[in-house]
Amino acid sequence: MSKIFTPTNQIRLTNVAIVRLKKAGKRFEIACYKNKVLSWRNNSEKDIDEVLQTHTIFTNVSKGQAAKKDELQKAFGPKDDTEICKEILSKGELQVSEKERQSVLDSQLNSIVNSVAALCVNPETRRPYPATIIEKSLKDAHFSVKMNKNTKQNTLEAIKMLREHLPIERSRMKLRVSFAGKEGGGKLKENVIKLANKVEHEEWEDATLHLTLLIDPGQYRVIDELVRNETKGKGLLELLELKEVVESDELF
Amino acid sequence: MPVVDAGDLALLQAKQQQVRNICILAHVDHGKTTLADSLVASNGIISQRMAGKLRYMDSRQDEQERGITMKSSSISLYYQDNRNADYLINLIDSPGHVDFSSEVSTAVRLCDGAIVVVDVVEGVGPQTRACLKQIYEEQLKPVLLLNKLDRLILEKQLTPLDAYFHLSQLLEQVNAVLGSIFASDVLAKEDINDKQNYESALEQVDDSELYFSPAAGNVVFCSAYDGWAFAVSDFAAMYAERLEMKRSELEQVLWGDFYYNSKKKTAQPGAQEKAKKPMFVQFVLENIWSLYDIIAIRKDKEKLPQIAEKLGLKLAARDLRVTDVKLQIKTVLGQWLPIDRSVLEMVVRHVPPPHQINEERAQRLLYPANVELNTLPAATLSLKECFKSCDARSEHVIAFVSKMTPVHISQLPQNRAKRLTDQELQQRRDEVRRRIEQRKQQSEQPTLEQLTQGVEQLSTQAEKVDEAPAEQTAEQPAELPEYEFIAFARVFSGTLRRGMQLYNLTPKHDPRQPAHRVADTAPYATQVTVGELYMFMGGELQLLDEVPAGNIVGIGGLEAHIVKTATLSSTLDCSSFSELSIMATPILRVAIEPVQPQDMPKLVKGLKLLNQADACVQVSVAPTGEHVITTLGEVHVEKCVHDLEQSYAKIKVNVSKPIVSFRETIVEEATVDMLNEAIVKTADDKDINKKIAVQQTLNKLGTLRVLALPLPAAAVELLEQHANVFKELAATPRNTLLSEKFSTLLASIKSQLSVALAEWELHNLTSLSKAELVERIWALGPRNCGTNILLNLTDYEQPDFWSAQSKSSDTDVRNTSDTRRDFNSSLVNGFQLTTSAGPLCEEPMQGVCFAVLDWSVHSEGEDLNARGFGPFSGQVLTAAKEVCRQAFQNQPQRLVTPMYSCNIVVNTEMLGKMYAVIGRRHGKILSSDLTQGSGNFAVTCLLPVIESFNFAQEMRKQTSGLACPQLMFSHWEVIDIDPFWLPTTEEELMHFGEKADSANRAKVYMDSVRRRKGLFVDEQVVEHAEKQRTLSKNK
Repeated sequence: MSKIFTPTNQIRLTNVAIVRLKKAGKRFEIACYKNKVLSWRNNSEKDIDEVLQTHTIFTNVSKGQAAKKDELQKAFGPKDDTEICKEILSKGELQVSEKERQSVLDSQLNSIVNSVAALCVNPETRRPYPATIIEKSLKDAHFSVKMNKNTKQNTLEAIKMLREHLPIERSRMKLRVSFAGKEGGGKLKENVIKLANKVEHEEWEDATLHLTLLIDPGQYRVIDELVRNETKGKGLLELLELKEVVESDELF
Repeated sequence: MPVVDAGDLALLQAKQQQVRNICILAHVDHGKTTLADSLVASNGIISQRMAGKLRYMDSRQDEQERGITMKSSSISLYYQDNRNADYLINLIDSPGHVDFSSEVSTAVRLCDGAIVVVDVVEGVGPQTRACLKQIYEEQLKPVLLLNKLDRLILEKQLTPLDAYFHLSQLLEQVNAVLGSIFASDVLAKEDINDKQNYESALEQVDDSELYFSPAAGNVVFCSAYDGWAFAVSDFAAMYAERLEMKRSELEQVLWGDFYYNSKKKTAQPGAQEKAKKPMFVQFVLENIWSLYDIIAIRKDKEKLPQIAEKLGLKLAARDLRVTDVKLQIKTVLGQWLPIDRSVLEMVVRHVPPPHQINEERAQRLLYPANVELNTLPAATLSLKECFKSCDARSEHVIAFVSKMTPVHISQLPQNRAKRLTDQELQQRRDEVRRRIEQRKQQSEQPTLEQLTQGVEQLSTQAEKVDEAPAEQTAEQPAELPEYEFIAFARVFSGTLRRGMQLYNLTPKHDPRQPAHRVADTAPYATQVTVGELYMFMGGELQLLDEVPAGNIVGIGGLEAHIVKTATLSSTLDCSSFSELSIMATPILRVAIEPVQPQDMPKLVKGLKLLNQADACVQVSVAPTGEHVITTLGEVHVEKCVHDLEQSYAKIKVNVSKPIVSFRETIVEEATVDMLNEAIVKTADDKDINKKIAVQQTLNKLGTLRVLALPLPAAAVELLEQHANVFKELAATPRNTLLSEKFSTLLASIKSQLSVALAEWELHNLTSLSKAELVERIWALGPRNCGTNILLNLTDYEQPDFWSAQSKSSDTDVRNTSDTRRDFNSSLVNGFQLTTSAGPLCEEPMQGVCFAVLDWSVHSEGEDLNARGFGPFSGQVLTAAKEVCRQAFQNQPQRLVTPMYSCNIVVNTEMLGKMYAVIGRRHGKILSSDLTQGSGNFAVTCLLPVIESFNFAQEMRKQTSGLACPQLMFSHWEVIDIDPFWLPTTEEELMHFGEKADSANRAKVYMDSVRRRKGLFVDEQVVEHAEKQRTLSKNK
């Protein structure tokens, strides 16, 4: 007969994080310490005893029901408990604890801020903004990190939001395009220039046209495709500089 | 004394014999500003009572709050000596705190003499030494003022005799400092090569003029707070009659080991030996002590009037009733021994007037030290005469601007309401009376009430009239900046007039070049128009029409032309004045940013103003986009931030540690472990093939094999040195023929590079000679100009890196069969990407060579872009990036840190503490030598830039301010610790334990950068699982 459930005999689990894995139609759980599972997964915690509360595998941790031997045998094959625990640890699903989430969020925000700082410049000075300024502006713009997107996607999102708060611009890419002038019926040049921010240099050599352009990095793929399709692979794109920024120290 | 009219002072300016330019210098808190207060009070500008409390010269709010002076400020004072001669004294009060030593430098340059103040209780401080040194260097005439004598009486409770010994010891200390400065200077000048000369140069130089001595009259004893001061001569005059001695004789014996023989009525030497009281004690100190005793200790109300009468002082009944002891002392002693008289008398006697600039000083100021005098044109040399005679009528006007002071426009005299003259006041009064009369007639009820009302009206009305024009001017120039910069200058020759056209000579101006002397076209001189002229009166200004030579003056309207210092001259023959000798160079770097990111433009504007206003701050923009200011120390930072927030930018700013950048590199495999035990290597370890990284493009059609190798230091240095050349080469558009000069330069770099690579170990990868290898350089990275090389060891023929000419061939010669050509730039860009952000912490790489051993593309008729992995060029780029990264990681990786070279001058006692500070911050001592003639050590050391934050502060604290480090960027240095190192060998495990708890410095640096950039940091969220705070049981 089951126990009567009253507040006094109820045992709350503290400092426990449960990792679950469904296998062979059964649910297996292990009891771990909080804030430790992610450290184990990214390999910075090597001591399994710092992660596991006990090496027992449960079907339900909070009720204290241990998994049966034959069920384990069926699901995992002939392995000892610790091996099974390790498998559950690496494959199972868990609820991320507060501190873990915080640190993941923090580092992700930092990396977003830094990549925004690396990608963008102040259009007036053509110098990058310091990361701290970007971070503050992002906060002002109510930017929040989307955990299900990667840094690059988040960064592009952030730049879009920042535009309304700060004079900011993607640092431009320097590109050299060469193709025979008659290719694409003379329209190619026009189209390419339309996509560029600025034409820095233009010259004809025999029948070949060389263009040095400053473009928005987002347009790189478009120009590449355009040139390749129109010239049937004979035109050439050359990346001269990934980003054009003033880099030197400047004294007032 | 009545308030002296500014007009009278302006008249005095023309009489050079009666002008003195002095500054007050001392260690912090030794009483400079208090002294200035007392002197200002003597001119009736502030009340005698408030002198010492008001700190009139500290006009800034933060100066008043903190109680320290932060800027030098000037005031013109009037003094009449006992022979009824009038004098104009331009007094400059200077800050004592080390952080503002630049302000001291600007003050010293403008003066002819200096009052050195020393606190008798605290003695000679480090800043006192610094001041004396600066005075010596600028060749000013110093006078000594021993301050705070009252502390010896009331606080230390010394007997007069003890006090005398204390004072004479202190005097010796000051003279010892002077002596050592003098000695090291003489020794430095001595010709070391002259072996014949066995006698030290010291023995031949006369130093008698150098020292302070009360008998010579250049020492004054004083208590600035209590408002009294005396020189020995004051007492000599008092006692000459009573002691029946000649006054001049008495002056000589009143200080020193003399006692008075009352029978013979003569002074006898050897007081100490015969256990007699020295005369100074008997006649001077005991009198003062007894006065203090009566007033402050016994509070004897009866005796005081008697004594006052004896001393010939008039005490009002009110003065006797005052219960405040200090105030009473001030009234009695202040009347008996007025501070202004003794101090100013001494200044007038000992400081030369401006037209007596000595030869050496004139030369030093006028001509740069490294210029041979005879190479200068005659016209320039003749200027020295004008300069020395300081002739106001001279046609050559020369002025030196030592700093730009910001003044709020409301404080400019032209914007300030004028004080009403007596006549005007009388008119107003009459007006009011008339109105009252009218009203009286109207109401026929004359009451006293109305009269008072009328008077009130008068005052409010007067105010209103005053306010009106001020408001107008304030509204009108809404666009104008709030601050006007006024040049703090001294006229050295000629007469400066408003609206005059002068040349502003920059430091590069050189009268030796004929081109520089041609008007209009002189390259380093601009023509400026002198704006308003001002006389400095503490925080206030007084308008002037003209200023003759030898005076200190404020010049308006130069804001746009002068940044910090300048030489103004009417002739182009004048050379630019030598730079200020600044005692400390700014070393504390902090990053400044606005709290509101939108305020960025305001901040930039504010920083520009700050740069102009502060002689000793450097403002720059770092490559990271941060605004960095370099200051002298913590207090200086606070002042700069305060200025920015309150006046220049008017926004809130944040101050933070500036970002320090690192570099990443690889090194040769270590042969010893961390404990210097040899590592035994198996053949397997030595196999270089294990280090080769292989990477396929995503569609598996292209393969790259790359090996990363460290470059020799000489090659790295060479590449670093010529970064600009490579940058230019990369920017040269295709098909342009390089200029001949450029080609030869490139050729020389090429040959130097092959020499630098001579010793380079290549592990039998290629049979090519070093010169051929240089030809096979594919690219440099990052940004086409770095110190990393992409080396081509494949069968592919890369476009020639060394000339722009053949660059075109790779794209234009379409008929080459090599498909790899099309992807040349992708591969190079992959390399550029990796070198600009390495795997350690995404910092640029340094000194790594990526040798591409194999590059194959097996298209076999298939379209390279097919298979759905995007364009093949992109795949090549990714593959190149990855393969370089792997190759880099296959070698032992190291972090490279920028290093400062640091010079410290420190005396022997503090040497140990200084070493401790350097050691704590992982500095390396390069040398430490005893400088000849002084007890100081000159220490040179290297310090990682990342450890330099607050270094100067800590150094100063630990060594009680006796060591002032100067930092300069020197080079990049590899930190020879693997950031991923863990103990492996048995000995290492024993020595460091399993976790290597003694923190790995390279790892600490790397993690700090990684954390900042949001990269992966190998650390756990929680260290000990069991020790987490858990929820309470009942919840």
